[in-house]
Amino acid sequence: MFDNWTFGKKVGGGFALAGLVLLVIAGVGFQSTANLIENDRWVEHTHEVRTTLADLISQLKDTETGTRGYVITGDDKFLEPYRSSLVESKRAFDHVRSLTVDNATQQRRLDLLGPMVEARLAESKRVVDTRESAGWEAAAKLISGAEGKLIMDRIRVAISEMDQEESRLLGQRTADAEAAAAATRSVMLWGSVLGALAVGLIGWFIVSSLSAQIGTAVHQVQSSSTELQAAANQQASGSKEQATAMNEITTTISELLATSRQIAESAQRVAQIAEQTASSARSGDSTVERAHESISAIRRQVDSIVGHMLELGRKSQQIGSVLDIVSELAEQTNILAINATIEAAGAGDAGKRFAVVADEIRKLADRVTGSTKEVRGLIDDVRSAVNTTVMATETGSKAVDAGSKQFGDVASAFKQIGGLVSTTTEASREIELSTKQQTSAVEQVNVAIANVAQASRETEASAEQTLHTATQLSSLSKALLRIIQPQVS
Amino acid sequence: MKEALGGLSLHAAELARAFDASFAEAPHADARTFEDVLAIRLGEDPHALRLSQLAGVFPRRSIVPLPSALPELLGLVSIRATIVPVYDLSALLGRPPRTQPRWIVLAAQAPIALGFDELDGYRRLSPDAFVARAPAEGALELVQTGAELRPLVHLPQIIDAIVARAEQAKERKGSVRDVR
Repeated sequence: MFDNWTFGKKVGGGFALAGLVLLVIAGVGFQSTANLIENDRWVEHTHEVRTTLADLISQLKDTETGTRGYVITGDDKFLEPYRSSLVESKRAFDHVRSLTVDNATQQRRLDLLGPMVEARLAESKRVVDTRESAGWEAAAKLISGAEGKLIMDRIRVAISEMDQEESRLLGQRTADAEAAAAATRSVMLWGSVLGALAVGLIGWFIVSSLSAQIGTAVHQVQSSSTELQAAANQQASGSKEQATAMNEITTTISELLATSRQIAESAQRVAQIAEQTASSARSGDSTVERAHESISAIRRQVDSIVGHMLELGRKSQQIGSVLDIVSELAEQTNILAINATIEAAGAGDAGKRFAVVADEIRKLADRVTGSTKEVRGLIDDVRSAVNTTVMATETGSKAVDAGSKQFGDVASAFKQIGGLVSTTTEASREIELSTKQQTSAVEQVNVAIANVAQASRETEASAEQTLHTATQLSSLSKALLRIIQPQVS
Repeated sequence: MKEALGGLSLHAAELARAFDASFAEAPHADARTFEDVLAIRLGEDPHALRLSQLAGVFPRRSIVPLPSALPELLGLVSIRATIVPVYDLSALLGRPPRTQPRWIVLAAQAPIALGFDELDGYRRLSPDAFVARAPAEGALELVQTGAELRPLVHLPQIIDAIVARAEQAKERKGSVRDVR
């Protein structure tokens, strides 16, 4: 049941038990001592009673002596002890009465003694008065009467009895005092022995219990300190590794910082180049726009050319139609000339001159026909040329259209390029900004890492300190164990 | 083009000069004897007709078809207010028939018209251009016109045959249908 008690409880309980034992012993001793003192007081009281009785009788003797001296000499200086003893004897009597108020026997004797003392003092007074009034002889006569001596003897007997009584009481009380002293001594002795035994037992119990408890605790402390030592070792090595890693991280971060700055510079250059590109794209855009306008003008010109050419074709066609008429006319003229020739031949000699004219007409018609054929060939050439031109122009027009479209595409591409380049500019600015922020963040990280490195160094130092402390704690626990359980170590 | 135009203007100038010259020169009497022919084409083949055997040349007229057993007879045509029968010259010469002739010639011998495809033109030929040849049906002679040799169609023979057939028919019943 004491195993669950705490150290303080055990020690407190032990001390409380020892204190209780000591308190009991002290109480018993106090009681014995009080008895002893009481007895001693009673002995003293008895001694006082006896002294006061002796004083009473002495005072009475002084009265007698003073009286006789005065009677003999008549000198007043002998009355001095007589007068003081008158007062002192009464005071001694009263004192004895007050001292023996608890003793009925003595009080009874004092009741008897009182009148005798009064009588003795009255006798003395009468002698002194006689000496003063009647002189030496009358007084001597009174003294020589045996009355005074008788009273005095009786007083002596009574005081002697009282003294004996007191002496008996003294013996009794002395025996009581001795018995009380012996009891006190025995109480002191046995109480001390008992107390010592109880304290020793409690001490042994506490010591054995606590040493077992503390020994267990010290064992635990020892194992804990060993673990702590191992942990501190690990922590120290971990801190060293951490410090190394932090150094590497710091180096890496420095490189990262340099890279970030390079990136920021590159982004800045990219932004500048992008701005230049944007301005180039804008100028290209305007150039393309102008080229587009030129091409549109060309397109209009080409359209106009095509229109003119088509008009030319139509005119050629009209010429052809006219030429057809001419050709038809020439043919008809020819036919007419042939028929005229036939008719002229039928007309005989009269028709010969007409035949000549008809022949001329026929020749002319033949020539006209030949010419119309040539003209037709030319017109065909013109028309084919016009057609070729129109086709070529249309091809050119289509090419112009395609070129215009391509220029439009180029213009839109330039616009797109411009948009992309402005996006690139913004992006590179953002990159620059972000990289600057990143750089400052990395610097902060660097500072933080430096702090961490410092902290890890401190941790390493503190781990070493912890290791040192753990070692000390281990040796201390061993020492404590040696102190507590020397047989174990 | 400019070159052609230049040539054309030269040509025109030559024409004008020739035209003017025809009025300036005295009408020369023909010392030599010329023979005038019409150069024609039947299909792709060139032929020739003596102008002296013709009464006229006409471009295609509207031919009114005439029901007939003769495949050569294309129909009737009006020439100078005279209705004449039109025969297919190609078919008459034993060639593939041509139903739509572009030209029509009127024979001098009888009021009979003959249709053919193409008229190449009028040719005035010297007598040495005529080459005799073994007599064949419808073409006894050849004429040299430029680089080509053309069979000369002997029109009177053909007209005679037609007329003879008409006469035979007339003798039988007096009906064209019954000529056969």
